[in-house]
Amino acid sequence: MNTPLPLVGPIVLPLVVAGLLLAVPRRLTLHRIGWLGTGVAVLAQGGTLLVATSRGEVLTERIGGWPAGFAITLAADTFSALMVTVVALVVLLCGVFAIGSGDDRRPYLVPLALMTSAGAFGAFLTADLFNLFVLIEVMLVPSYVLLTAGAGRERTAAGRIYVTVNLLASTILLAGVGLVYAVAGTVDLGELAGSAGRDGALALAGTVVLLALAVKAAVVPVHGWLPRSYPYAPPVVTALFSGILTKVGGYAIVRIVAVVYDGAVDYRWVIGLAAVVTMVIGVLGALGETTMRSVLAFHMVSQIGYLLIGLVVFSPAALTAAIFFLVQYILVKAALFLCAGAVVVGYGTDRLDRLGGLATAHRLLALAFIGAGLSLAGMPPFSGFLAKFLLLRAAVADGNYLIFAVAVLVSLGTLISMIKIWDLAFWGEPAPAPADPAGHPPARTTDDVPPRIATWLTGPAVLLAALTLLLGPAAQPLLGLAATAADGLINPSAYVEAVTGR
Amino acid sequence: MTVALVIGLFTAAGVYLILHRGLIRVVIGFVLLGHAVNILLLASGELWRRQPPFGDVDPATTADPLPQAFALTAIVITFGITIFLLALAVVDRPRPGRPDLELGEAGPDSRADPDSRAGPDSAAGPEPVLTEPRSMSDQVAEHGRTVAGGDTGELPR
Repeated sequence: MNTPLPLVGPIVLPLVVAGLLLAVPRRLTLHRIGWLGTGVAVLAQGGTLLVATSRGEVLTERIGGWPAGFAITLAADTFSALMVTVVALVVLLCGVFAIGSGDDRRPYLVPLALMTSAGAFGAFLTADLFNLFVLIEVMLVPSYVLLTAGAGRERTAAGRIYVTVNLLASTILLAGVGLVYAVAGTVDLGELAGSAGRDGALALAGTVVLLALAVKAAVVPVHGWLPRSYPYAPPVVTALFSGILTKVGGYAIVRIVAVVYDGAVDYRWVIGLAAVVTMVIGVLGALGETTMRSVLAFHMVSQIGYLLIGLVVFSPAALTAAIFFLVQYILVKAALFLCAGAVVVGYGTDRLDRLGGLATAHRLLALAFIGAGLSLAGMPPFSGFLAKFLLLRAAVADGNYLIFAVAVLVSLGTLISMIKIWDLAFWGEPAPAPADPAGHPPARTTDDVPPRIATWLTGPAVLLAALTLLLGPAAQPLLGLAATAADGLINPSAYVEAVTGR
Repeated sequence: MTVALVIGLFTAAGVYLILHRGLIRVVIGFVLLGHAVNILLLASGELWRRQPPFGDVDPATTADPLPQAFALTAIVITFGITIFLLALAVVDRPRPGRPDLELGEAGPDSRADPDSRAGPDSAAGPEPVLTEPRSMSDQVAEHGRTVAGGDTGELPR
């Protein structure tokens, strides 16, 4: 089917813009225009893709016009289009935040951020396992630099963990792709569709791929890198990563399990076990953390477990709920990290014991945080409530009472840790500057004037929080799209036909 | 069989080195692992098919080009990341008087990161754009100077 706009657009445009910006490293205005312009353009293309695929159509593009089987195939169905759109929105808003925080003055931050986003868009659109590996690398390599560049020994130490773990996972992913090729003679998702059920060796080879993707999605027990690296990045980079990196892993797991494994009927208990352990360990870790961003980083682990519930049940209702959950969760998590980032920029720290009274000093920021936080915990009327309610209803309908019980308890734990942040950082008196034996300057000034937090910083978070509030009562359009996307995953024949050209 | 043994040996050595603490050993470990995977990729295209695809030959006996393309792509990626890791090893190398830092000792506090305070006020101020206190390339360059100049403090000519 012909596409309204070339599918390579979301991949090529950010890369080209990034390349051009590298040529003019000191033109800040150009960098800002480049980031925001690219964000708007990709968001617009995501929107057109959504419209074009809204009834379950699958758009494909074979690069260079080679026939199917030889060409590098890009394919967009409703699921891909949804992911591209929502991630483009997060990238755009992170650009706005970077202008406010001054992060865009860091050398090469803007081109690197654009390259990372290009890899993510490509990973959502590719229909080929090897290109999935390549595009994940395109996404990760700039992210290594984003995390490690700049001053700070903690950041370099965090970068070591982040780089080595992700590199190991990438190596495993590549080995898995090689094994799949050795067994099946192809790495095309369309050709591989359903073949794991017919061929045990292929199922085993695919498991290697899934294991590597589980590392990238931070599924317990291979989650340890995430809470040890994300909180150390510059504020805008943490927000950007939260919207992009683990979500690509989650997306790819869902796509491969649905298309290649037909839902992995016999091994749902493995996914279920991973989901339960991921939810519990993630939320317990979050309860023990003492800075805003490390609490949020552990919640990223915990929430991936909810996404996996959709795969455990693998019914249309469950996958609809999981996709709806994923989309709204990306928005919510970005909102929370942008709030925490604004606090870091304003106060120089996000340690809970050094903050206090933010609610009176920064009302809009507090509103955005509490809105997104309640949505993350799954309180009505926010979108998180609807997503979790639908997921749990699907789990109960399938008879998974254990998952139901665990998920409810984990939501309670999420709420507790959100209340902890709210209680320590947003309520109470402004914390006095602690006497610091090391002689460092106090984290906040001792006079009673709180630092100003610019509208550029709060604006993106407020917008995202408003969106999650809107997506609660007015969820029907997104739910409809999620249902179409879930239908395409349960019954991937349209996707397979479009990709293989048969 | 030989191929399988070589892959196994490289993987074992690579994993052993990655589990070490020093970043240089980790880098060498990743190089070995990368080679193991590249050989695996080549092996996935059935190594007995060696005919060059020129002239009038049976396609079933010609070498499979796709795994070679995979391996080529993977080599490029591994190469780039190896360079990056080496640069990281230079910046992060243990120096006298600067003990190896464990994560979590200080917590993610931006005291060590003065530039993250350059927030709202810097947006208004006449601060020169794109000044980073110490970018990685500076540190690498500085490392080159200290190596070249030794401990005498002289700048290299």
